[in-house]
Amino acid sequence: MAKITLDNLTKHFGDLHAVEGLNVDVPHGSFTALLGPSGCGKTTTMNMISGLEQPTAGEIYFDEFPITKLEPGNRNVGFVFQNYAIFTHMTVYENLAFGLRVKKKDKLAKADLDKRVRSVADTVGLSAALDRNASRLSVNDMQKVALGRSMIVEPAIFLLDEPFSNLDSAFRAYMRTELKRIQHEIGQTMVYVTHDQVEAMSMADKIAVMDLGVLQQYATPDELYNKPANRFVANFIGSVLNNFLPATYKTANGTAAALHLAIDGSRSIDVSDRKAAIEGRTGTGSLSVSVRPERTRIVAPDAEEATIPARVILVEPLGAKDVVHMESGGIDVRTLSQPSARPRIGDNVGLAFDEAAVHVFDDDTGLALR
Amino acid sequence: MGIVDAPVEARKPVVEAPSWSVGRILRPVGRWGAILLFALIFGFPLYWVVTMSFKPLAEWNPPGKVYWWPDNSTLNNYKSVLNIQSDSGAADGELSVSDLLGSSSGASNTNNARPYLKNSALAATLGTLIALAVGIFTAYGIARFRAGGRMLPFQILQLRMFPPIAVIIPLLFMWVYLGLWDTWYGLAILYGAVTFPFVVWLMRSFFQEVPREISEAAIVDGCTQWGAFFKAVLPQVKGGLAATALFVFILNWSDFLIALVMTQDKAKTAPVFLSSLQGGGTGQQYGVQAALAMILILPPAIFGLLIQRYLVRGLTFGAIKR
Repeated sequence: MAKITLDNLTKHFGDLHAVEGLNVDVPHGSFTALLGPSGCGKTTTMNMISGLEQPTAGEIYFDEFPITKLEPGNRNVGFVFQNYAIFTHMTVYENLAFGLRVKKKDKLAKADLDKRVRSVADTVGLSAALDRNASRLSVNDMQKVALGRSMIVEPAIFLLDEPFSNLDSAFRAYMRTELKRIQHEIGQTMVYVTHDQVEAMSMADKIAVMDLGVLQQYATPDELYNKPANRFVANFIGSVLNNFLPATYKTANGTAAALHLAIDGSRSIDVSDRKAAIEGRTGTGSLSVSVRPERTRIVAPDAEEATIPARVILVEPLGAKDVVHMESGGIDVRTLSQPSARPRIGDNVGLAFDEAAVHVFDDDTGLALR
Repeated sequence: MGIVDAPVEARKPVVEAPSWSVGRILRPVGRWGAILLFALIFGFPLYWVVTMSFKPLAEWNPPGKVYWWPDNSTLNNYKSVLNIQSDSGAADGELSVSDLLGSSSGASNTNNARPYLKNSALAATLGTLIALAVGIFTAYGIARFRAGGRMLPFQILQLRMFPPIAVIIPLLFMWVYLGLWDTWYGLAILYGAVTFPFVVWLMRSFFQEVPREISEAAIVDGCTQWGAFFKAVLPQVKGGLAATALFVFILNWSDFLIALVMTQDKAKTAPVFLSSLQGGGTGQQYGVQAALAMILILPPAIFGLLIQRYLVRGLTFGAIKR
């Protein structure tokens, strides 16, 4: 068990700045996700923690010890790869025992090794498959082997690089729960890389959202969802694509008292409680607002609460909810609605939302204004 | 819903009644005729060698007669080549090659290919080992670490772009000077150098198929780079390794040109010896040559059968991307 501190961690591959000045503290025993689109530097960060890559600058501390000079094998980390990287020329048993057998120091007695292998096999649910050839396993079982092989060395830190992205969705959901259970059970410090925000939101205590090698926000799932630091985070987090609407502001007495949605100039939002949106603004100008689909609802086009008029262009039934895609003044907007009240394509509707659910972003910097 | 409710008849595949036409009958006839024709053309040399190796001298090449099958089949050709003392031929009242050359009774058997087979085996095996040892590491370096840059693989392949005969004369002088000429190990070094590019090119593609994470997983578990290579990566490509080893061994084993120039007598190999099997009194010793040819076919064939399981996997490796 250990806590991890990434101090100004930087990695350049020639001209490519894969990771730039990353500062993250992973508390002891916590489950932290590195989230971002592909190419955002999350896997590079992981490789630096494990020692497979050397940072260009910065330092990594496990507890208080700098470890960038240590060989990967001496860092006491477990690594689960996206494509499992199990040894197909060995049996499941040999795969699980591999990490213990290659350790030169404190070699285990045969009986102890056997006990450890069987206990780990039990934890990941492979007891019945120990003698099977690893090449004949299903994809799901291969990932269990990969998990077990990393667990068996009892690493201080457990690193998982998109471990479930090749699994079928039912088993992925099962493994998410299992992993979370194991993590709670043994209080293991885990760092989990994923591009799937659902996975990150559902499992992690804290999520570091990265883009183009730069940390965007490091916060709890709730904070990321409710208080995105910038437009990128607001866009990336959320299971249905977020709505972004252009807005204009007009100052009165030197302060921007109200935002006007550009789609429908008649509708204004009171932002007097958001100092950052007001400060330093004079005259008129433009901003962006976002409101999550799940915080909007379809109303009659002439209803008083209707914020913007919209036309339905596509309905995606998800079972419990429908995702309704609409177009409003050339801008795509989405909402979630009950299947019982499914609109028809081409319907003219009104979209209503709560002012409190609106986030305001600076057009130039993309930063959230609160 | 619509699909589930559809009547069962509607989902039955439509089967057409067979129509009897000339084309339907002629097509397989033509196909099998062509297959048979090519089988005959390609099988004939093998048939010739096999039957010839069992023919006695009188049936080799008698004027005006062709023996399609040995009338008096004999093992004497093999005995002669392998220098097994034989008196059965004499007992049968049959004229053997050894008798003709006066070599069966203690005098040296000029058809004895044993030392040359031994030279072939030593040179081809050591040459294969050298090519594999150097080539495997080169290939892994290129595949995993991009060693030598983008051009190195092509530069290595370039080694094979000129015919070996282009450099064989200067090599001859070098090898004489170094005392490697007419030695089986001197020959083996050349075999290793000549076949090394093949090893690199074949093994490189096998190594490229192994995910990088395989070695990284082993390294995180505590292996060194070398340990990860031997314990995790190399076992993954053993099929490709077997296929490569066989391929290179066959190239070395069947070499004629290099051995012809680089050996004289001590290290002469079996293929070179085979070409020299023409006695003054007998002309071309077809039967003996055929027997030696049969023996030369054996090692690659046996090796191939032994590793057949890996071979298929090795030769089709990379055909399927996961």
